[in-house]
This record gives sequence, structure tokens and C-alpha cells, in this order.
Amino acid sequence: MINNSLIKELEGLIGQANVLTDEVDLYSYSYDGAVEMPVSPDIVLVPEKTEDLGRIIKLLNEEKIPTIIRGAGSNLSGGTIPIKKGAVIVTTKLNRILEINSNDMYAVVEPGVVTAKFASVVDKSGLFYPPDPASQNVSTLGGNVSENAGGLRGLKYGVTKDYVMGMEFYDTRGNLVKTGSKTVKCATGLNLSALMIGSEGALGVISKIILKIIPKPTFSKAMMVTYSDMLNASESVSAIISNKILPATLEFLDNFTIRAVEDYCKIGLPIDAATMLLVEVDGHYKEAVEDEAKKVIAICEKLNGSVKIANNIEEKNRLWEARRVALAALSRVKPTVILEDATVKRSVIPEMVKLVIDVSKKYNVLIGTFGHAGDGNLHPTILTDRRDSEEMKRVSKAIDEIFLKTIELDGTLSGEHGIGTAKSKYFKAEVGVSTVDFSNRLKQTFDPNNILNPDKFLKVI
Amino acid sequence: MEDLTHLVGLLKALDDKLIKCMKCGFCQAVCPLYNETFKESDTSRGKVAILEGLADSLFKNTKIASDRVNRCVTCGSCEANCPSGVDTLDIFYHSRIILSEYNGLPLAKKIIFRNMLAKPVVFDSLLKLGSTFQNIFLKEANEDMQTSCVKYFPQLKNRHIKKLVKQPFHKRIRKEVNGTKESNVLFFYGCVIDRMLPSIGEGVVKVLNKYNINTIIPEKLICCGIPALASGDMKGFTGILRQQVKLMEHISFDYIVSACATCSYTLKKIWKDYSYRLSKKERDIILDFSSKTLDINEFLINVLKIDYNKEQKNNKYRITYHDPCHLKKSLKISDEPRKIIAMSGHSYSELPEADWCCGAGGSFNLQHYDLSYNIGLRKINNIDSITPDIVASSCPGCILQILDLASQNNKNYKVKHVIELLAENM
Repeated sequence: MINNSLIKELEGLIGQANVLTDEVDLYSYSYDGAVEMPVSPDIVLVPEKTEDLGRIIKLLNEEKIPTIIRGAGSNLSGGTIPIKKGAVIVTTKLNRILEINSNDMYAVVEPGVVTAKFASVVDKSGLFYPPDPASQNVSTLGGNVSENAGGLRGLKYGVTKDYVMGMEFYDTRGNLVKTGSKTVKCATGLNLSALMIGSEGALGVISKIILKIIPKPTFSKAMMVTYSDMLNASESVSAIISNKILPATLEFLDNFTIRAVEDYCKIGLPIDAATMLLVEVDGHYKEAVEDEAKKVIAICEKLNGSVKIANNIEEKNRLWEARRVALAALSRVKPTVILEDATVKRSVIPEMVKLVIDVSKKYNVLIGTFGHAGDGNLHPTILTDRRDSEEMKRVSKAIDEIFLKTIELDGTLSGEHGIGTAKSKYFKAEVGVSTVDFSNRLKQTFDPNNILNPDKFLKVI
Repeated sequence: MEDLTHLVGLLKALDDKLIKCMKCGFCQAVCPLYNETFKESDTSRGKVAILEGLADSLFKNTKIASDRVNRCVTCGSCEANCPSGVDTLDIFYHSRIILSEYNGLPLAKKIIFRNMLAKPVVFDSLLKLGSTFQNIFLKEANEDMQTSCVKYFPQLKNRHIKKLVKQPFHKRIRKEVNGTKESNVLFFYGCVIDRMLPSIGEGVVKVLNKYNINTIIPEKLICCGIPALASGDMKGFTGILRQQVKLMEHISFDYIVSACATCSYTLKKIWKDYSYRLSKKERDIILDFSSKTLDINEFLINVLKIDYNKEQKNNKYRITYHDPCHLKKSLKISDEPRKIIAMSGHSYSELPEADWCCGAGGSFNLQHYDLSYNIGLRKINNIDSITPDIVASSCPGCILQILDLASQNNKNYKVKHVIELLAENM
């Protein structure tokens, strides 16, 4: 519990209106986008100035209060559920874009800036910020960095970590730490950004981020390819890439998802197709883009794919409709949706999809799979009803099996959602006991009182 | 405690609707309220969680929980953008009914919803009194916009409002306008057009007349009922529906046409879904009314199929358009009003965030004026980026809200209904 004098002190610091202590308000910070048990914090703090982050964390550290840093709360791994209660610091009011420098091609932002808003401001200045997680309309850049969020453009353009040039964060003593630079090159000091990215708020409190932005590709060409044999689709993905073509997006839908989409919005998809690929190539020169598109078409057709090309923006939007509504369509099948992100090398996608189908049959649970074929990041999406405890037991076993087999396939637990509460139990199985031990000792150095997002995948004993 | 068990039981009935929310939080992106406050309990995800918490008896204070759940513009932006298809408006109206029956309804609301809105004679006389004596506490605020501000009542803040007209719309116009077409249209003009913006009603009559439509303008018409339902007063709302049956069942018509987005939405959707406390006979009549209702925009474009391309461009004024939430998000009508604007011949510029809620939200504006004002300011700033001569919309509620904000901020554009633009060009 938090004593009254600390509440008063925090109210003095950030204003009474920005300190929430009513049980009803607290309950609205007990969950995030993951299907996990909600836990209410004892206090919620919504600072309006980044400097206040340092003052707040110093106070909370002195009182040894467990603390969660939360952006939009849209993550899918339970990373922002305050399982040890304590404080939740919400960054959504720290939402200023401090600088967009189109000559030197970088931007400086506060952690609460919404991803899509940032991308659209960058776009207006004629540049491009590629990471586009599905939650980009609400997710915050601070959250993206802390979870190392990905998106549809991973294969060609990389993920959030590839765009972080530097940052400022407060350590648990409330001191400001700076790392990286606005320069393209920087070999000064430890690369602390690399530690902070994907650390899920367990090492420090990010207050400012320097992000790389790049020239915007001017031309693109999109197509939809359907296959009656999934193996052909997978071979197409490998062949496209081994022909030195990197599509901006290379998305995958399995038969279950194709049927769910067609059922939901009747757009004339071939419901017997085993697999659908959505391919988009882009670039700065029209001829080059068209040339790449032609090569992709030839490769896919040779591997028995049936190709449909978008000739204008309306047709492109229609093609993308299937992918855009995939989650919405799946979520209407059953009330509870568990979206996983087990990731494998793209060459083993067929094994992975087969594994998911086998697991679905073995445990009698519905699973639709879609995702990013180009980078092997699939989203087996389990459709269930969390009120059905018997089915939830089978769901839990199915998820265990998917993750353990992913590790056997030399894959990884999470492509872009993070570990959080949902996957911490598998962490050791992937990285081994000495890595867990090393990570925990590192955590102890950053956060000796173990207050920052405690007892998720990093534990201090 | 027994009461609380009863409340929990009622809320459990919402379970099948609540469970569909997968807590993705995508509603944050479109919620006009959340984007002012950044408070999770202001989003639909937060409200759904709080309702689940109430149903699980987690909270000591149900009043605070009710307050958080009811703090909503009910614009339906979240519902229109929800990936898992949660019927948020349905959830919130039902929860308001359940919570107001549990917590009780304030006396003033009971009197208004049950004794004034449902009784045309009482309502008429009160508004007549109002229009006579309003000058005592109103003073002119903006000559161009013909708005007034309120003296002596600090709780009404700095609102710039439209005065009640001396002669309401329904008294200005003949009860029936004969045309040559076979179908009869009942014009459901609604309270705001009748008492504050009669020129919209006159525009509708002129347009329908031009297209030779037999138009019935009932002398006795009462409120559509949305204020009662939005406050959770199912008793008051059912009383209003019962009165609608009495007032309209003897009139012969093929369509009910409304020029108010909120009335159109209420008649088409709310009358259908919330008439379950009526007798079977009454309910069948209400369902029949509901199925015959069309918004004026869809009536002109989709039923009459008027040729919106044939008018000549005069480019006299620069027009932009604000999408009323009830029209675009709830009834999916957004191309039709733009086609009608095209018919007026003026030049048109699309408003940035044209479908971002203006913040009016009926009683939300009365209870949370500061929030309503701030949401409206975003609309005013977007309008500034276009610098139009006229802001058009299709809902008297939105028009009053934009007029209020524009008048307070000394803007010099006009705010009109699309039908007025069309009528002026005829």
C-alpha cells in the first residue's frame, strides 16, 4: 500500500488531477491487450512533463514501490499488468514531437507520442518512419521501444530497434542517463539503447527518444497470390528473397483465416485456397519497382500461385482489405482472442503452420494463422471463450506446445509482442539458465530495489 | 446489499456483450473524450472493464463506477472502429438504464422526461413561456450568427446559444403541403428545428415541395426520446414512445423523414431496439414507424434518386462539411450529404477530421460543458484550416454546438444544414 504522505508528495509534484487513487480508476489500469488476470495498482500517475518522471521514480524507489511504465496499454503480452500492485506511471500526456530534422533525417520525441501520429507527421515532411505495429493508431513510441515492436515491414525495413539512434532515460535514483546521438555514427560509450530496447520497462524510465527517419519510397506495386498447396507459398517466399528482391510487405493468411475473412466481409476470396500471400514491392524508381513486380509474378506463377495485381490505389486497398480485417474477422468467431507471435526462420514456415494445425486438432481448439511470412513472424490466433474453464485448460496446453516446438524449430518466443507475464515461463527454455542469470544480474545493477516491472521475465531474487 | 446483488444480476445479463471486448484499446484512437483527458476510464475499453468489475462486485462505491461509465459523449466512434465488433452504444444505453434504476434518477430529470417531453401541450406552453421571457436573461453575443449568451446563470458558463423562436416551425407552415407524387412523407421535424432553427424545417418543406412530395407536418409532435434513454430513464422513454403511437398512428404516411441526424438515428435504431417495454400492439406500431424512417439525405439521394450532377457550378461560396456521428457512424450516411452539397453549386473543401465528434452529445454538453467545449475546439481549429464561408452539417445538435464555439471564438463563417444550402439554390 502507498501511504498518504507519499500520495500528497506525488500530488504536489504532478498535480492532484494527475494522481488517481480511486478503486474504480485504478481498475482501469489493471489490464492490457493480453488475455491475463487483471491486477489493480495502488496508484496511477500521469505526469505532464518528462522531468517529473525522474522525480517520481526517485520517490517510488526510496519507498520501494513496484512500478509499471505504461503507454497506451495495447501490448499483447501482459507487460503492463501491475502483478505486484504498486504504481503505474502513464506516459500518454508526454506526447510532444520535439524535433523533426529532415536534413539530418532524425526526430526527437517524448515517449507518449502515438506511433501513427508520428508516422503521419514524418510523412508530411516527405520522409518515412517504417515500423507499423498493428496497434500503431494507439501504441506509443515509448511502448514500441520498450517492447521492440515490429509490424508489416520488418523484412525490408526492420523493426523499432533499427530506428533508435539514442535516448534519454531516468535510472531508479532519478538521474538522467543519455545514450546515443543525433549523428548517424556514434561510438561513444556503452550502447545503452540496445539494453533499453525490448527491456519492457524493467531497467529505466525512458523520457526522450531519438529516431531515425528515411527517404520515402515513391512507387509501389501490390499483388495477391493464392495457392492450393502451402508448400508452394513458402517456396515462393524463399525464391523471391533468393532472387534478391526484398518486398516491403509479404503477408500470409492460412485457409482458416481466409474463410473467416470471407465469412465476415464477403469480398470474393477463394475459400478453398490453402494459403494467400500479399506482396508489395516499393522503391524510388518506377521502372525498378515494376521490374521487381514482374519477377515476383513470374516466381509465384511458376510455383502454381494464382496472381491478382492491383493496378491502382482502389484495387490495392481492395487487395489489402483481406489482411486489414483478418483480426476483426477472427475475433468474431469466438469472444476471446489470444494473439501469439511465435517466430521462426522463414524457411520453416510450412513446418510451423503444420505444427499449429496439428496442435489445433490435438487439443480441439480453433486457431487461425496469419502474419508476416517475409520475416517468419506468424500470428497463431487462438479463438476461445475465457468463461469456459475446461476449454481454457486445453488452450493453455496448446499454447505451451506451440512455444516449446517453436524453440525446437530454432525459432523464438516473441517476434514483436515481448515476453511480459504471458511468456515468462518459457523464457529459460529458449535462452538457457546462464542467460537468465546474467540478465537478472544486469537487472539488479540497474534496479537494485527491484521496483521496475518486477517479476516478469527479469527477476531479482 | 440485496440491492447490490440485484444490480450484479442485471449487469451479468450484459456479459455476452461485454465479453466481446478483447481489450485491444483501439478505441483510444477515435474517442473524442479520451483524446482530451488521456484517462483510460474515458475509453470504451475502460468502461467495459469497469462494468465487468461492477458485475464482479469489485467496487465499494457504485456511484463512482456509474459516474465513470456514464461519462461518454455516446458518439459511437468506438463502435464504428472496433475490430471485434463490440456494440458499445448498446452496452452503454443498457448500463445507463440499469444504473439509473439502481442509483435513482434526479427529480429534475424525472419531471422533464416523464411530464414534459411526453406531453405536447405542456411542452408547447412551457416553451412559449420560455420564448416570451428569455430576453430577461439573454443578451446578444454575436450579431452575424444571431447567438445570445446567458446572464445571471453562471452554471450555464459562457455558452452562446440560439434563442427560442417566437413562432415555432410547426406554426409557421401549413400542416400539409400537397404534391403530385403518390407517396406521403411525414416530416418529423424534431425539437431543435422546431424551436431554435426553423429555417432548416422551412428548407426541407421547400425541397420536398420542389420534388412534388406530399408532406405532412404534424402540429403535435413530441421529442424523439433520446434524452430520456441516454439518461437511462426507461420509464420516461417508454412513456414517450406510447405518446408517439397516439400522436401518429392515425396519420397515413409512407415515410417518416427527419433532417436531424440524432432523430433519424433514434427513430431507426433506438425505437426498434428499446421499445421492448411496450405492449405488443404498441410495439408493432413503433417498429412500423421505425422501418419507415429515413434521414432526409438518404431520402433525396437513394429514394427520390435526385440527379445531383446536373446543377451548374456557381462557386459562390466555399463550403465544408462536418459529419454528424449519428449519421455517419451509426447510420453509415456520409456520401449523400456531400452529393447534396454538390447540387448547391458552391465550391467544396473536405474538412480535416470531418467525422471527428463535435462534442455536443446532448446531455453530455449540459453535464460536462468544459469537456464538450474542448472537444468542439478541435473542430473549430480544423475548420480554421479550411477558412470556409459556410460550414454545413446535417444535425441541428452539431449545428448548435459549432455555432456556440464559433460565436465564442469570433469566427465569421456561417453554419448551416445541407438542406438549407439546397433550398437556397432553388
